[in-house]
Amino acid sequence: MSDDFRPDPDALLRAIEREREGKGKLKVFFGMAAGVGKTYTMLKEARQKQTEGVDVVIGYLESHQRKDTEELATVFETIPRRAVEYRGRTLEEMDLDAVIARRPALVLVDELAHTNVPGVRNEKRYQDVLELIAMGIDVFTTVNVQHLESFADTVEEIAGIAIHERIPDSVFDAADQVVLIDISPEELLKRLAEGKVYLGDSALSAMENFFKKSTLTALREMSLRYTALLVDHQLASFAKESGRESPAKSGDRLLVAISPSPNSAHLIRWTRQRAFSLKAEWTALFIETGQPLSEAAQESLRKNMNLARQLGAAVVSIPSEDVAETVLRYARSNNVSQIVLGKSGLSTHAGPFARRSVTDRILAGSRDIDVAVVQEKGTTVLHSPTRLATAAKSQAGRFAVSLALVAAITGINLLALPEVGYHTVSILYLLCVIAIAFFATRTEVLVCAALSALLWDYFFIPPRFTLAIGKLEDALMIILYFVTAAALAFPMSRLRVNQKMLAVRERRVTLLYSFSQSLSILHSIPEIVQASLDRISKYFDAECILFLRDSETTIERSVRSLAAVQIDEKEFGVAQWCFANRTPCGKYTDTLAFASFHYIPLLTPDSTIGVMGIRMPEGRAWPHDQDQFLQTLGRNLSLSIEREFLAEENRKNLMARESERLGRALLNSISHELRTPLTTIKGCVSALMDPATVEDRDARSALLAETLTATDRLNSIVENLLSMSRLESGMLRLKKSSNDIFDLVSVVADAMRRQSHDHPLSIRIDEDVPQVSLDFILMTQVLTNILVNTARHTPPGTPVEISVERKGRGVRITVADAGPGVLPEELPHLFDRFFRGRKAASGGVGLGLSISKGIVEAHGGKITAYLNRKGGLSVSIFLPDSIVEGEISEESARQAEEQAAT
Amino acid sequence: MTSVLVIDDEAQIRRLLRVSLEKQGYAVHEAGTAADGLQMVVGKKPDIVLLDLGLPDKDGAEALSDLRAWSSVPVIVLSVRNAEEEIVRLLDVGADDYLIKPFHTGELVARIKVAIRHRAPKENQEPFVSGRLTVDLVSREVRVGGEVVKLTPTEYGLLRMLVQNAGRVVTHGQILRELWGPNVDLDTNYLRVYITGLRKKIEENPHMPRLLITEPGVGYRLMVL
Repeated sequence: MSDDFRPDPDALLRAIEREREGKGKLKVFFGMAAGVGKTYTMLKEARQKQTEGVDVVIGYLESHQRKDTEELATVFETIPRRAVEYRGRTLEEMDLDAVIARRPALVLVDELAHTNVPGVRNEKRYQDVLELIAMGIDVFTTVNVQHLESFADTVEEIAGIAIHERIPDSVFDAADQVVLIDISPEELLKRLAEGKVYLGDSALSAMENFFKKSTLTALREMSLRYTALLVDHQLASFAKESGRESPAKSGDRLLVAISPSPNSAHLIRWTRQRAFSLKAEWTALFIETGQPLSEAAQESLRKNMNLARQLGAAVVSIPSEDVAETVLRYARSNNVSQIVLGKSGLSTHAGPFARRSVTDRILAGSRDIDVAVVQEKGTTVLHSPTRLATAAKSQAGRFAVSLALVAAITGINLLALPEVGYHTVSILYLLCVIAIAFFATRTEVLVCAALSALLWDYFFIPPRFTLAIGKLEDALMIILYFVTAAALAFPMSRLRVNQKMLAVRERRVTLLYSFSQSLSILHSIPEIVQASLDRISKYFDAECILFLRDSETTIERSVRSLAAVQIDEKEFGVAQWCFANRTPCGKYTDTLAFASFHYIPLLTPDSTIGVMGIRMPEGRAWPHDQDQFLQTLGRNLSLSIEREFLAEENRKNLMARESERLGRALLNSISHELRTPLTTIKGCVSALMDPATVEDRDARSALLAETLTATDRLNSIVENLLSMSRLESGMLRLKKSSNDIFDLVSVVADAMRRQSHDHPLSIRIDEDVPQVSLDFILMTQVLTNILVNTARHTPPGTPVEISVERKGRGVRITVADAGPGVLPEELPHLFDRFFRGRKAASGGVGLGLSISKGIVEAHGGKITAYLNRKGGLSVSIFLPDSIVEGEISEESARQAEEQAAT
Repeated sequence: MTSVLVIDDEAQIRRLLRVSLEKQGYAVHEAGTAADGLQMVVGKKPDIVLLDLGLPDKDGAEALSDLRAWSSVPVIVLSVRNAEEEIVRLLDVGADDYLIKPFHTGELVARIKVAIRHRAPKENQEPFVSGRLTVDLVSREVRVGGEVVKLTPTEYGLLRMLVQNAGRVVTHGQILRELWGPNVDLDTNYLRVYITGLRKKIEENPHMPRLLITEPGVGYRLMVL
C-alpha cells in the first residue's frame, strides 16, 4: 500500500517540469483568519529566496503599520502602485503591467481575494495573479479560508457576516504549493488583545462576532481540512503522473441541476465541495424549458453558470420541456453517480399544477443513481421585480385572452342551447380549451379547462344556475370532460414548447452543418473568414470581428469584419489579452468588462489561431446559453484556419526542399563545370613553364589560346550564377528603356564573333521593327546564352541565323541553327534548370537557357524551342508590348534638331 | 617613362598588372587602399591611375571625387559586370574610361594609351582617320571611303564629340549635355535616333557597326581602327 503512494522521483520531476513549462509557480500562504501571520511568513520566505539570489519584488503589500512586517519589507524592491480614480476618490491598486514589464523572478502579492477598483483590467486580484503566472512569473500570495467560494456560505452562517470578497476554489488548483499558517485560536485571540491584529477601519463590530473562540475553531477546522484535502489531491496527481494509479478519480461523477434562481449558487458550491472531496468530476446542468426569462433572470443564470465554470464544473445546457426526464436521461447517458437537487429550487419550473414536483420525479426515476437533496440557503429572491413584472405582463395578457375566449364560448353556448342540448355544448368548450392550448401555458390551460367545466355545470347542466349535478351520468360527463380537455390540451402545449425548442435546435444544427460544410470546401483564409463571419453574425444578429495571429506571440493589428468596424487601442488591447491568455474576456465576462466586444480565443489543441469578437446590438443582452455554441463555432473555425496555416507552412517546406534539391544539383554540376576550365588553365600554364614548350612557338600560342577560352568559359559561368541568384532571390530589377533592336543584336553578334569564329552568323531584321522597350543588358545576356548554347551543341561550321520580326505590338527574335537538334522529348525540358541534353557532347551547367527564360518572363514575354523542318533547333523569344511607337516622331526629332542647331 | 598607379585591394591582380605593364615599358606603383592610392598620387605623380571599384576603405565614386578635387590625372575604372550604373556615375564625375574584369591585357594597354593621349595638348589639327572614315574638324568635312557625306547639324555635333574622344567611352548623359545643353532633360531615345542615323551614313553595314560601338548600359565609343 505504502509503495503505491511513493511516487517515482523521475515521474515527480517530470510532473513538476511539465507544470513549469513557461508558467510561473504560485505559492499560497493560507490561514483561518486575519492575524495568523501569513504576510509575515511570506516575507520571511521571500527573504530566504532573495538571499539565494532570486530576483524578488513586492507587487502589493499591506503592512497595516505593523513594525516587524514593514521592516521585513524594506529589503525588497517595491513596484509603485497604480492610482485609480473612482467616484472622486483616488484608490491604489497593484500596477499589473508595471510588474509584468519589470519581469521579476518572484513577485509578492498580498490579499489574493481583493476586489479591484472598477477601471483596472481585471475585476479581481486573483485574475491579476493568474495572469502573472501565465507570464512565467512566480507569485507568493496570501488568503484566508473565508474567502474561498465554497466556504463563504458556511462562514457567513457561522460568523453572521457577509463575505463579499470571494475567490473560486479553482484558483487553488493553479497553486503549486499551499502553506497553511496555523496558530491556535487562543494564541490569535491573545494577539488580538495585544493589538497585533489589524481588523480594518469599519468592520470592528462585525469582527467581534468573527473573533470568537467558537468561530475561530470552526474556521481552523475548515482550513485544516481543506489543506489536508489539497495535499491528498496533490499526492493523487503525482501518483497519476507516475502511472501507478490510472485515473486517480474515484469514478464518481456528480451532476447538479441549476436554475436562474440565486439559490442555485449555493447548490453549485455544495456540489463543488463534495466533488472535490470525492475527487470526482462534476457537471452543472441547466434545462431550458422554453419559458421566457427576464433580463435579470438571464443575468442570474449567467452568473450561476460562470460560478460553476470557475469552480471547475462542465456546464451543459439542454433544451427540453421535461426537466425531470431530461436530468435523468443525461445522468444515465453520462454515468453520473450522484444527482444534486435543491429542495425547492427545481419545482419553480414545474409549475404548481404538476402532478409531482420535479425533485419527486427524479427521486422516483433515479434507480441506481444517488440523489442528494440539499437545503437551499440565503434569501430566496426567486424573482426579481423586473422579471415578475415582465413575465406577469405577458402572462396576464395571454390569460385575459383565454378567459375572454371561454366567456365568448359560454355566450355562444347559451344562444345555441335551445337547439343542441346541454351535452353538445361541452364539445364547443372542448374546442375552446384546445384552441387556448395553442398559445397558453399548461397551467393556464388547466385553469381554463376547470373554469369551463364549472361554467358548463353552472349554466347548462341541470339543475341549471347551480353547481349541483342532478344525475350521476352528468357527474361522470363533467369528470370525463375535464380529463379529455386536459388530455387533449397537455400534449398540445407540450408540442408547442417542443416545437419552439426544436426550431432553436434546428437553427443551430443547420448553422453548424452549413458552417462546417463551407469551411471544409473553402481553401483560402480570407474566404473562410468571410464565410464564417457572415454566418455567425447572421445567426446571432450581431457584429462579429476576427483577429488572426501574425506570429506565435501576437495578433494582427488589422481587423477582419463584414462591416467597417473601428477598433481603438483599448479594444485591441483587450483582444490581445484574450489571445495571450487563451481565455474569453471583454463584455459579458469579469475580465476587461469595459470592452464593447465579447472576445473568445480561437483555440486548437496546440496553439491559438486568433481572437473572435462579438457585439450585440444596443440594448440586447447576450443569451445565456450561447457561450458554448459560440465556442463550438470558434473551435470549428480555428481548426479550419489552422488547416490553412498548416497548408501554407507545408507549401513553404516544399519550396524549401525544392530549393535545397536545386542547391545540391547546382553544387554537383558547378564543381564539374568549374573544374574543366580550371584543369585546362592549370595544364596549359604548367606546360608553358616547361622550357621545352617555351621554345616551340606554335605549341605556345595553342596553349595560350586554350587558356583564354577556358577563362572566358569560367567568366560566363560566374555571370550566369550571379544572374540566377538574382532571379531566384527576386532581386532582378528590369531597367527598361527603348532600344534599337539592331543595336542589341549587333552587340551580341560582335561578342560572339570575338569568342568563336567557327559558327557563321547571319542576321535578318525586318525593316519595320522600330524601337523596342527592354532591359538592354539583360536581353544581351539572353541572346548570348542562346548563342553560346547553339555554338556548344552544334558541330563547327553550322550556320546560325538571328531573325527579328514584328508581331503586333510585340517583337519576335529567333535564333535558328542547322545543327542536329535535340530529341523531341527533350524539347519541353530545355529551359529547366540543370537540364542537359543527352546528345550534348560536353557539359555546360544547364543554367544558360533557364536564366534566359527567367529574364524573358520578367519582361512579360515567352521563350519557346522547336525543331526546324530541315533539322536543327530554333529558340524563339516573344516580347509583347515592347514596340515603342510614336514617341520619337519625325516631328519631334526635327524640333530637337533645330534646338541643337541654334 | 610613363608611370601607372594601380589601386586595387587584390594583390594578385596588382602583381598581374605589374608584370604585364612593366613588360610594355610602363613604371608601375601599387596601392591596396584608396587612402594609400591618394597619397601615392601626390608622392609618385603617376601619368595614369587604374582604380578598382571594390576598395575596402572607400567607395569608388567617393575616392574619385576626392582625387578630382586637386588632380586631373587620367583615371581608368576597373569594375565587374552589372555595375553599369556605378560606372556611368564615375565617368560623369571625371573618370576617363572603364574596363570590365576580367579583361584582355592588350585592351587595357590600348585604353591606357588613349587616355594618356587625350590629356596631351591638342595642337594636331590633322583629320581624324579610322578605317574608311575621315573627319576634318577644321573644315567640318566628313568622308567615308573618299566620298563626302552630308550630316545634319546634330549628327555632326555628335560625331565631333565622339572624334574628340576617339577610342574612349562617352556616356549618354555626356552626349546629351554636350549637344542640348545642361538644362535640357531629354530621353536617351533621342540619342538612339541620331546614333542610328549616323551609323547609316558612316558604317559599311549599319547592322554590324564596327566604328560606332554601343557600350551596353553606359554609352558609345568611336573605335580607332
